[in-house]
Amino acid sequence: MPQPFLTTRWSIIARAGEWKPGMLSSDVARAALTELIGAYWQPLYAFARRQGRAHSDAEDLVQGFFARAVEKGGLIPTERRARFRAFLLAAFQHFCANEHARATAQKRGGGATTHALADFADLARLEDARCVDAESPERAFERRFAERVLEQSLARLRDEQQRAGKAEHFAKLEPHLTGVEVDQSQAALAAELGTSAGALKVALHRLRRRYGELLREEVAATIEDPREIDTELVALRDALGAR
Amino acid sequence: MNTPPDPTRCSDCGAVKPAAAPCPHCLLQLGLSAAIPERDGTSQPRARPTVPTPDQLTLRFPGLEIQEAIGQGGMGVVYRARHKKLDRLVALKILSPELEHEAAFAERFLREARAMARLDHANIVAVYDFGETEGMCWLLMEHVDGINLRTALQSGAMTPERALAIVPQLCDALQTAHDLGIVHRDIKPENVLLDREGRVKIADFGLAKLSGHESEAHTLTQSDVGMGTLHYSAPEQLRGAHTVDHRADIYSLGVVFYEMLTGQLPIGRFALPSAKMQLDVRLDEVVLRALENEPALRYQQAAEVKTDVQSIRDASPPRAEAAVSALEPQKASTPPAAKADSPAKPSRVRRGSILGGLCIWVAIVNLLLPVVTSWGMVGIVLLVLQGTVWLYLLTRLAPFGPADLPADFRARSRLSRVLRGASFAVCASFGLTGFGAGVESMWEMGTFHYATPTSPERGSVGPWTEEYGDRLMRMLPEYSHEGAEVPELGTPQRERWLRNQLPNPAGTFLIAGIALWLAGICLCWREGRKEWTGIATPLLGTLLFSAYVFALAEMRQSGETATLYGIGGSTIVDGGIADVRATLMERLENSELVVAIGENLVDKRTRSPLARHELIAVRPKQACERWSYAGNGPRRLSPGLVIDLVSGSDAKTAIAWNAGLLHDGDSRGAVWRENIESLFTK
Repeated sequence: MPQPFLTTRWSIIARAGEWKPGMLSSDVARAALTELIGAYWQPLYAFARRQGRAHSDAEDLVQGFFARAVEKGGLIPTERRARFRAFLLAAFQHFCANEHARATAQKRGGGATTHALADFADLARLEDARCVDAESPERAFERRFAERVLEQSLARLRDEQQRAGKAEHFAKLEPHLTGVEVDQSQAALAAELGTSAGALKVALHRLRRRYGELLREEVAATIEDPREIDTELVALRDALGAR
Repeated sequence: MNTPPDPTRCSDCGAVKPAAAPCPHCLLQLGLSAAIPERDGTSQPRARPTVPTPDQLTLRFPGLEIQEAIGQGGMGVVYRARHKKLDRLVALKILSPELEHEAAFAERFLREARAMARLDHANIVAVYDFGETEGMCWLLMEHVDGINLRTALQSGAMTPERALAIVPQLCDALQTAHDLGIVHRDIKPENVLLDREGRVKIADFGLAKLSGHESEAHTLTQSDVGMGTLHYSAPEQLRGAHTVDHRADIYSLGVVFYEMLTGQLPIGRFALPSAKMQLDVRLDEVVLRALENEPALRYQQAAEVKTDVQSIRDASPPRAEAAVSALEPQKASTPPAAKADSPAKPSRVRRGSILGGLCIWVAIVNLLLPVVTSWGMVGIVLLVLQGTVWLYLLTRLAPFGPADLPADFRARSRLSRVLRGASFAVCASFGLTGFGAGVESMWEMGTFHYATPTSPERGSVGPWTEEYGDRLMRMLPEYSHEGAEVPELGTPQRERWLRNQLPNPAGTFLIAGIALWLAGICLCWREGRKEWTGIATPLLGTLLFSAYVFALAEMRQSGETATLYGIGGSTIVDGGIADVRATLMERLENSELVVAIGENLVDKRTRSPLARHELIAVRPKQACERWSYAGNGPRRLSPGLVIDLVSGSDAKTAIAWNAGLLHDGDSRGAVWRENIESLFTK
């Protein structure tokens, strides 16, 4: 299974002016689209919804946006040092503005995208439930984007653990990645996993460490200068909102 | 805890979180914490071995003395080491273990490394040895003492002519490799090294191939290979096409070239280089042709690029000169383009220049600068201002170029440049003060006439002047015993005594100033042996500035006014210092004014009364230095005859004579009256 390094693919698509239709094979294009949607559907959907659109409209817009990106290639030329997060939002807003002139029904991507729709119905409902009152669309986007980055890193960690044959272990440890440990519950958990409390501590520590590294990698892929990782992380933290 | 924790709240930070899932805030914090590397390698998950420390490596490489890690990239870590047997510095590259999860990686590595080792060219970082030890794949390479092109670009000192000097070397390197069938695939500024001699060296040839992933669209898993590196990749590389050949390197070369010329990447509809900078338009064609999307339309050989670039460069040297001045601020002594071809070793010549400049500097300081210090606080403020200006200019000086790389590049951050400039500016400024103060006092001592009878312009000195002086001298220890001969007026001993009355901080200033200044020179010398221009330019500027200050001071002095007040506060004379001085002298000779020694009029150092001569020979600043007094303005009401002075910075000296206000009832007045009488009655 290839490591999904999404933004790499995105940058292929978004090298404005250089991308030509047919540059990517349809398989690659579809894979790219699926990944893009999988990763960034939620923040954009949240944004569109917060703008006051109905569920179906928002959904169409997001699908159309990604499909068009793959189809036509290049929405706005990437500036040097652009952050992917900001770029994505700007591109989407640009797209939405243009969409006013067109009938939305025509923009339901290609056939390649319809298969993913079913999954997002649930996510849409979740979004409604989680939406925070008095939050601007931009804030909603930022917040969901940050959450997605965290979720993606977690997913990568889960994948890694699965490939190492520790899927079940990790499933149990996952909720304990954060939070203060209580001795009693730790001992219980250790017993459940069949290790000592000490080994459990070490394992948790390593997982956390690895998660941190994966998160940094995720963030690094969306910005240009690796020295900006910390700045971006802090920005994401702010985007998460108040506790 | 007895109550079960609330699953919807993080037990660490208290934030709201989904139940049975980690807290987003804390997860994010893990990302920030992961920036700090852990010391203890054992706490890392076993799947990811740590970056070896130099000590760990020394065990595995007995023939090397590993010094320190000098770089870390996507491919692995590079260490500087000393090859014990050969006694030379080498670079040891340990390839990233992440890369090794692919099957038969070691095999491919050895094959690639063998190919790399065949590359033997002055512009390619040589591979001396390679191998696989305890699961680590390593390369022993030439150590390049210098910086990489990325650092050079960030320092802001890249000019088109320097770019035109670098590109042909890159072409040579690429052509050599291509002739052997080796494609770099990862040409970018981070992989281009510049050493002190001005030579360009490309590193990491062929390593990009080792990361695999040839079969699908270019997916890269390392964190530092984000959108940034992709900008240098040719379109066919990104597509994952199977027909990536040496022309991909030429594309990357084009991107690097564009970036060197304009400081930006050619993204989207990028501007032509000649539109962004003052350049020969023929360069546009070169860059564009290298950046063609279709490999077939690009330059087919790196040598062709070199030919074109060189022909442009040779054909228009005047254009290149003009281009230099049109760019960001450079020092006037930027080395001309011709120098770039033949990097010389002019250290001896430059050392001579430093010394020569030093001598000229000292001579001019002695001639022009005394007046700077006579301004007191104003002078110091102006010096600080001047120092700030030079500080700013020095930080802009980033001598760089194939022919004049500074002596020490390692981690020369902007901060260290600023500190260096600051230290020199401070030393120069205060050295100035020291010189000035010292010279001034020497000048004063040498040129000041203390009312000697021999100086014709003073006229004759009255008998009681001499008598008073004699009485004062008798207070000195060497002349106070019975029968001692007091030196006569006009004799050197008397002059010497008078001079000794001068409190002389100038000597201290002088020594301190010289010491500081020499320290500054040594600092600059050590910091940048070849930066003599960095020293000479501020000197020149200081010189000009001082001349300006001197001229100003001259003008001001002639305009200084003073007022002589008479008994009861009436104004006797109101004019220039010279007038006041003349009138005072006259009055003293005619005994019209009676002088007494008040509390203030005592030499701070010796506590002995000041000679009346000195009251006459007064200049604003000296007066302030010498006498301690309180308050501003003439003191009309204090008992006794008091010489009071207004601060010289107002450029006004008021000398108040206040004889008429002695009261019999005032005990202090009585004492002073006695003193006056005893001094002046025979």
